[in-house]
Amino acid sequence: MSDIVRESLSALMDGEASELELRRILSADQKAVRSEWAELHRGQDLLKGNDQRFVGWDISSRVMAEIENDQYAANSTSWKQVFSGLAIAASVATVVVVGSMGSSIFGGAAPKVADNNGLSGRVYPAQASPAVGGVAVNAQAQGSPAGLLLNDDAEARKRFEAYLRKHTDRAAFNNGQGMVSYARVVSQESK
Amino acid sequence: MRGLCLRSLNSVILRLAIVAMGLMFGSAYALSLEPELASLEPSAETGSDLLNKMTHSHRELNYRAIVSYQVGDQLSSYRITHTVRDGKEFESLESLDGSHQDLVYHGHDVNCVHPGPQLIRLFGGDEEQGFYRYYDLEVKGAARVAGREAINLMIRPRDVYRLGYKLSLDKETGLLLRSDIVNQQGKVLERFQYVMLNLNISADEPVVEDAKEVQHRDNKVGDAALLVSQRTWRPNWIPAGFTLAQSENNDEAGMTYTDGLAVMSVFVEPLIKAADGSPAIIEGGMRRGASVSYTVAFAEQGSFATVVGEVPMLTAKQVAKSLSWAAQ
Repeated sequence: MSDIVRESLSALMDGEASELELRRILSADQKAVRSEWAELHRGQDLLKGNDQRFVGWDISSRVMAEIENDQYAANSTSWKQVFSGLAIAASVATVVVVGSMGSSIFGGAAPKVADNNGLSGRVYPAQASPAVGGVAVNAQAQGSPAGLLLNDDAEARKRFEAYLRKHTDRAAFNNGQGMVSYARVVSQESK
Repeated sequence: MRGLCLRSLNSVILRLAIVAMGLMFGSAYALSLEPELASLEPSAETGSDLLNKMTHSHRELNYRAIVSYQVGDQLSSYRITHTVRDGKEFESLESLDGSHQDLVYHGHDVNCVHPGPQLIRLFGGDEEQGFYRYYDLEVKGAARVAGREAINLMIRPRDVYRLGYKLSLDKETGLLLRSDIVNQQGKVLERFQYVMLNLNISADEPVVEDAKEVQHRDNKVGDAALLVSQRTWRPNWIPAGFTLAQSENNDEAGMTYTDGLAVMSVFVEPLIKAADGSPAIIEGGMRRGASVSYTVAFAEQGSFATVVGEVPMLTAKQVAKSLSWAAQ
């Protein structure tokens, strides 16, 4: 996706998109647009401190997929159409209701970040959401932006310790804590 | 170092001059406006006042303390001694459990100002300037730590690129008595806590024998900028509010950035190759307490970069991935 389309999407989200920008979005690759749209909302939710659990759930593509599967209904009688439409809506709604119940039952604290991010009005979050089969379902992505965690790799751990010491030489004078910062290094080395 | 301390001397003279002027005007003011002055009782300190005091006190006072450091279910304890003699700091950190690991540091000019504290002092709490644009400060009432009266200070990041801090500062001196570093989800990643503090020690308190000496790193801003121009690599992205604190161009090629509380360093080294010629560096992160690192291999440049610091993994990863090399 080009930066121009991304910029237009961001503008649309802020309610500032022009007609030209709308046309640009409509003519862009729809799959990319959908995932970028989800990304932008995720970034905004994160900054507002909203619940992050379900931001990865792309309902739009599921609804579209269901409608695709239900093409035969188009030629049948109207009550069938109404019924299948209701069924789709109900199934999606169930997922959402059950999902949000889960969120309050397990009550994880939502990341709380102030509205004013102090950077810029438009936000481009860092992670790409892994889209599986056109349906972006990855509520966990937010939890592990690290990708691979190498904590068990002995070589990587050795390097980490060496870097941490060098880093602490520089950090101790800048983080307002002073020499106490070296506890981070020493506690690790004496293990 | 010499330049830096010359500069500090100048700033001391400047400060003295300001204080002298302040006294002159202040006394005139007090004489003419005595009734008003009475209503200006010393009010409760703001978050920025407290933070400012913290950056001074741990370097300017004589003290000995026992401090515990906790990560997950691991607890370790240290004795820290800090004295100031003839304008120079002497400091030691002795581990009290596990194998002996003692560190000393001496001779640091007490007036040498480093970029981190400078960021906190610079804008004096102006909400929209510098440091205070990136964190929300909230004074959260009284506490008691190490048998002393303390004030709680909550520091929340305004964006996703920093960690949060719950600090307890000594009411009398401003010393940092307890510090919880919390992630964006509010989980405590590590905790420093003083369990005993003695402020009545003599400045001649002996330093620890046989301890490893910590190097003084000159963090002068101007020097760092000079060295950057000689460097072939640089991060194309760092979070807003981070300032280059230090940069070296020797074998330990590294750049260090700070926003006043968070510090992160970028190191670049030649790529290690496995026996079959493929890069032996795996991209990924490491995490312990509030410290993380993220390593990225740059095969074309024959280098790998590691970002280390007390920042969210997201920040370390994005900075590491943003590295680029100038054409040579």
